[in-house]
Formats: sequence, structure tokens, C-alpha cells
Amino acid sequence: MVILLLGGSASGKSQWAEGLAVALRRRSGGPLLYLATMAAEDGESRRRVTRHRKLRAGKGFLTVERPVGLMELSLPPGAIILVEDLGNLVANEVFSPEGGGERAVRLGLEHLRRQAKHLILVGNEIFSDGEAWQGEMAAYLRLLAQAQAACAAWSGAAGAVICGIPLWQKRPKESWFEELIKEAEPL
Amino acid sequence: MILVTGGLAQGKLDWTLRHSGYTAADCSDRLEAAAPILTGLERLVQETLERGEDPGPLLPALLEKEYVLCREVGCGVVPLAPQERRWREETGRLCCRLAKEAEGVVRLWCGLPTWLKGGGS
Repeated sequence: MVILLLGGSASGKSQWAEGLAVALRRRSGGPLLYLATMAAEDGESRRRVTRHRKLRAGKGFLTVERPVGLMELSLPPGAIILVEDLGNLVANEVFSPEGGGERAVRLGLEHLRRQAKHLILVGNEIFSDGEAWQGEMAAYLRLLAQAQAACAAWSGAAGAVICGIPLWQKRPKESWFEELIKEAEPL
Repeated sequence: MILVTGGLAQGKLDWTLRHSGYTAADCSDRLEAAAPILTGLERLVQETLERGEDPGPLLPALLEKEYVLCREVGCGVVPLAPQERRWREETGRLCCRLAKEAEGVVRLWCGLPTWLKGGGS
């Protein structure tokens, strides 16, 4: 199953994504992979990384840092993969010298989708600010929107996390999903 | 009239074409065009304001359309430039008035539609 979670900065989307990954693993087993796409080059980025590592500690995640080139990543079979986040992935593929552009974003996500037993994607809500973005920034926003819409189309569940509460736009109607989100809810 | 809203590149036009069966030839960003789909209401509001006119009187002609597409523009930091504040304000208020009169209001998010009013079909 693919689950897409968007949200603003500090909305609680990561904790939900982690909770869902752990709850899914309890049901289906398999390795639990955290795929970090942020290129942590400055002090602020490293502090974010440290905070996220602390949050994940003890939950059984194997962390893989991969800012670009997800399509070449060899993955264990039957894994539950959490990708955080799509905004960084698209920025790295499009703007960094190592990046492979739009094609690399698409192929990378398709590769993960094929390989993973469950794929949880964390993305960003940055499309309603009314700014007249031009050039590279406008292109970036369109690419991210397209990538996230493609993930939403594949997904079995997709929603935005607001103040730590998920607002589902798409979700299975069955009771197992209700039980899954109850179990996944951050403490 | 169905008002179709959502952020930048969230799939408003794709959804409208799928829902209506119309094609790109049935869309126009000019209010005076005979096309049943008006795209980019936020830009129309901007142009109207730039001409020094009030966008309010656009309402009756907008209600004659089958679909009106407008980007959500009000969720960022309040702009420093007064003309940009006015533009966000007028776009938002006009959408509220349109939504009140519309038979349906749909919001696109990540390509997924949510009916805020009416519809479902």
C-alpha cells in the first residue's frame, strides 16, 4: 500500500508517517527503512536530522540517506519504506549538480513503489501562497505538485496533517484502516 | 456554475476536463469569450485591479460560465505590497460570493477532488 502524507512545516506529518510505518510492520513484518532525502550540509539541517533521529530511535528503522538517484538504490525485498520528504527529493534532483531532473524523480519513485511492500511518502503543502513565483521556483513548484499528484493517484490513502491531525482526502473504508490509524497515532 | 479551486498546479484543469468532457478548446481566460470554462480567475482579478477597476461587477458574467477555475492565493504570509494584499483580498472575497451562488464547489488537492458544496456526480 502507498500512503501519502502532506503537511506544513512542523505539522506532525513525520510522527504520523513513522507511526503508520511501525503499525504496518507489525502486521506484515519485513525490514523498516527510513529513506532520508535531505542533503544535510549546514548546521540547521544537521539539527533537524538529529531531532528526527531521536524521534525514530528505538522504533527499528534502518536509516538510508539518499538525496538523489533513488532509482539506483538496491532495496531489500518486502520492505516498508518511509520517504522523507518529496520537497527535498525534487529540489535535489532538479537543483543539485548530482541531480537527474524530473526523470530521476519519476523513476526513483516508481522504483520504490515497485520494490516496497508498503511505501509511506511525506510531502509538502506549499501551493496556496499566491506568490507570483517565476523561473526555477515556478518550475520546482510544478514538478513537486506533479510528483505528489502521481503519488496520490497510486496511493491507497492520502491526506494532509494539520496540527498533528490527519485530514484524509482518500482512504480505505474498511475497519482495518481505522485500526491502523488508531495504532499509528503519535502519543 | 461549478467553482473549481485549489493551490498552484493541483489539477484543477485536468479534473474539470475529465468531469465535463470538454477539451482545451472549450477553455478561455477571457471572460467575454464564449467558452464554457473560465480558467485563471485570479489573473482576471489582477488585470481588473491593474486597470483600476473593481472586480465585483465580474460576478454576473462569471455565473454564466459552466466552470470557473481559481487558484487559492490567500495562504501565504501577508504581502508587503498593498496592491498584492488587495489582489489576495479581492480574489478571496469574489470566490466566497461565487461559492454562495454556485451549484457546486470543488477543491483539488494533489489531483484529488473534494466537493465542498453540491455535486458528487
